[in-house]
Amino acid sequence: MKRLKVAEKMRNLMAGYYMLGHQAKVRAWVTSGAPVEILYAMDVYPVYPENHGALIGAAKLGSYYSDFSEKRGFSRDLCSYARCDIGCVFAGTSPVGGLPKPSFLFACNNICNTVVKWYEILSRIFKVPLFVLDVPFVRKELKESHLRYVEDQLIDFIKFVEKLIGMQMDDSKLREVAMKSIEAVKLYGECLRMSKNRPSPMTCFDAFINMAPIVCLRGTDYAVSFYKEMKEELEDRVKNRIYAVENEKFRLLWDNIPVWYRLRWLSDFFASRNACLVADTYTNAWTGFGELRSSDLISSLAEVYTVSYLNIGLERMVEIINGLIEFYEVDGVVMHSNRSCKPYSFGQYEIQKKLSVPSVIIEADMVDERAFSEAQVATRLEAFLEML
Amino acid sequence: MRIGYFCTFTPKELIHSAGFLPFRIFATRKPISLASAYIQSYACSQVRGALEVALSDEFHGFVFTRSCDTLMRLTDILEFLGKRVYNIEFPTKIGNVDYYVYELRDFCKTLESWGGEISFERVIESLALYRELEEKLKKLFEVRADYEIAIKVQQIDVSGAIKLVEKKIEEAKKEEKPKILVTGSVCPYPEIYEIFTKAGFAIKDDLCTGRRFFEFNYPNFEPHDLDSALRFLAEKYFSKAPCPTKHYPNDYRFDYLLRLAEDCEAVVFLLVKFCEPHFFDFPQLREKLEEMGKKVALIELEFPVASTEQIRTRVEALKEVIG
Amino acid sequence: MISAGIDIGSLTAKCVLLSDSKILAYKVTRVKPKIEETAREVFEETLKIANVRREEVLSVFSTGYGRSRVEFADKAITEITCHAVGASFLIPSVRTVIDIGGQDSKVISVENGRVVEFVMNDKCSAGTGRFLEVMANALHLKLEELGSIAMKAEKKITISSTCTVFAESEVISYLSSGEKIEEIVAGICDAIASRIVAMATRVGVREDVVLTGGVAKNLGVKKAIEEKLGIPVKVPEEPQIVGALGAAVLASRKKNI
Repeated sequence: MKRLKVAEKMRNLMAGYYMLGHQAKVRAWVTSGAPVEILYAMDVYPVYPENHGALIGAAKLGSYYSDFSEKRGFSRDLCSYARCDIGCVFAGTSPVGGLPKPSFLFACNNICNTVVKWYEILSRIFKVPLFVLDVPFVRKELKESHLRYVEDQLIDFIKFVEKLIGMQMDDSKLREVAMKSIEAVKLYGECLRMSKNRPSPMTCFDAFINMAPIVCLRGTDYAVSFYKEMKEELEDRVKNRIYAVENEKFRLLWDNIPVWYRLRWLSDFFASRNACLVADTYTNAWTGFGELRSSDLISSLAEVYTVSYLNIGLERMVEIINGLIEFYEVDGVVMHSNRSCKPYSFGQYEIQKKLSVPSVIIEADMVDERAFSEAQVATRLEAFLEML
Repeated sequence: MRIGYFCTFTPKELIHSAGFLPFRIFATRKPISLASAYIQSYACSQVRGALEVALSDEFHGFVFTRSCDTLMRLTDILEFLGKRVYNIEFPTKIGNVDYYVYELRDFCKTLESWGGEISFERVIESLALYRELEEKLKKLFEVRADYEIAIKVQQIDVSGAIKLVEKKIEEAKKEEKPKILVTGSVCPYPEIYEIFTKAGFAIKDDLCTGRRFFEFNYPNFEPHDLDSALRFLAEKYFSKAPCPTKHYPNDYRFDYLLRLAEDCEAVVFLLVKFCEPHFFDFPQLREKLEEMGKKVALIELEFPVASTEQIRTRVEALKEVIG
Repeated sequence: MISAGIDIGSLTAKCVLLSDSKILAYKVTRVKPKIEETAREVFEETLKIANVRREEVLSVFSTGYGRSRVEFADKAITEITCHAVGASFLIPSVRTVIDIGGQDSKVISVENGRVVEFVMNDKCSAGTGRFLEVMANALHLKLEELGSIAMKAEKKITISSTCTVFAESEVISYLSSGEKIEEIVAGICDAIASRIVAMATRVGVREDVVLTGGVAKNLGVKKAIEEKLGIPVKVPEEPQIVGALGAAVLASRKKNI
């Protein structure tokens, strides 16, 4: 696997991010789909348990940390991000020495309802307040009443934080953060779209490895300058004909959260068979922020965070996937049926039938390596490539 | 015409007033086969078994309320399979009544587009009928918990259901037995409740096939037009016996459950495998219950229930431990 | 030219020798812990039956779970492709292949001998040969007997559990409550068939349907699948060797892949 040079920089950046957390005065644990812009605008440091979960998975310590929560009675059928993260709290440590304790919690259910339960548990453990941003599911078109409901809660949330920190939010600061968010998202989207080149200069594994800044540092200068650099490196690759997969023969699309503990294995598996996973539905979920309007910030934040990828009906998901297939000129789709992520995985059988190219399903879990059978996955993927 | 529904937060009153029969769908008692083609095996057996029923029986349409992630996707799956479906976005965070009134207004429009008729008079009538049923069920359960009835009334017309419950109230006799609290989502198997009573317990429950179907606090006002009737309905369902798929201020569900457990000897978590909302709550609830000195047991269910023998052994052992 | 296909499954190893589109010889053996050794033995034994020298075999392809561990093979191909090719070789009108293997089951949609789509069982073993093996053990029967016993049943017991482990205890409880053994066995065949048919629904079933793999010899399972699909299912004379045969066919036209 030819890693991007920026991956090294990303590691340093994220190490710095985790360190800063211990010094921050006010810290909030937040879900990946929460409007973090409001937190950065009020100098609240956001901690991302989901990113932490991915990191544990990548370190192949999923079952190790999950064990700490399983011993307390948490079922092994629960989401492995939650199991591992709660496990780290009980263990009092983690691969990054444990997450800094929260001042409050902020859960937005635009990715799943699991996070509400997970954060309720954290709230009881840490005895800190929890704000749930309740986002209606958008099965068809976005309704005015839904948008207003979310908007009202955003205003409530700002008041909630203001009361906790004893300071008012500065509107111009929020605007400034939001602009940085838009900028980073735009650059990140441009990076991902570099895969349109044939052969592609990057794979979705590069996208996975380098996605932490767009999740955790969206709204800061760090994310902007990081993705600028990533984009430059990719442009260089294209110019100098450096390809992610030397003899790119098949172009594939990945669906669902990565199998974090098998990134390397999967990446080598595909590369050695001249297959390049040029794009994925997961990282693309973070590129939909283009609509943020500075004139009506709260309502456009409400809109952007309501129509997130996992909060829409299957019909719309099919449209998006077929759009990606067309844009990236993809030959086939690899779908990860992820035991931990029900909203992402249920419906895959139906989506398969509506895609414009063939697809294959592999069974696994994003973090818990006990749910992965190498022989089973290899057979399915090999057969799929033989078929293509 | 039957409208299938899955969750006790569904406003059955509106479906009924529109001229349909609200029919609660439980997991099939037959082996699950059709459903496996449309949803993965790590979906809970309540959803897979309900999908099986939805595909094999006649329904005019299906109504969902936002509760868990699996049911949310089931709406989409049924629609992809050519069924008439509607999802009411019941809030996850209990609080904003105005929002939910809007949502109910949209639901009325849907019922009309499905061939139903909505009028203030008929909504009021349905509200009264369901309230009567709920209050009678409450009365019956105060004397004796009867799950066969609690399950049955969710699948027949409300007027017939009221008569049925009235008859049961006349027959019911109170028995003095140690109480056991049974908490979980659904258990449509009357024979499982019998295991508890035969072992010498009187059941108190926190289940969708029991108390969560009929326990409400009713708002203190008389609706005077359709809009206020919808408001009445919204407030009624906001004050329903709490469910782990909802987020309440001040951890209301935990308090509620601990209060329920106060006069019980033991608490049994009767949970359907893969049910995230309940399994997330379980460890911390257990801890609090044990602090109160309660014996706690977990029984995992998968539908169809193949054999009740294992459950019987667990329950009888629990009775022996308590003495 | 002579080519060979070797299929190393989870329970059995199969080898087929092919010469100018004719099967020269085949052999089925049990898999030993050492896969490389198992492969060499089954290959040598087949050579012996056919009276062919090793050097005469121009190309060897391997398939099955152990495919990548057959070092002397020229190429490894998955059993999905091989079953499609092997079934098409024997029954050219095939459009759907149902293969019930030891660890894995698959339903393959075939057109002109090529795989168009396929579905495999999820992680659980309830739709595989393993399921039957566990049940046969629980009933103290031989795996091979299940089919003929099932055919004697007038009705079937319903097995409700979807998980192999739970189904096993369910079967034991039926046994102890005095149910007829043939009715239990028929229920077991029915349970596996309903798993398979659910998978088949995902790819769509088109005739002719060909059933391959060791379980295809079980008439009880075949009958249950036919009942559920509502159409007849064809079984090749030696359903177990279809994967190895497919590998041999592919090896014979090496340049085409």
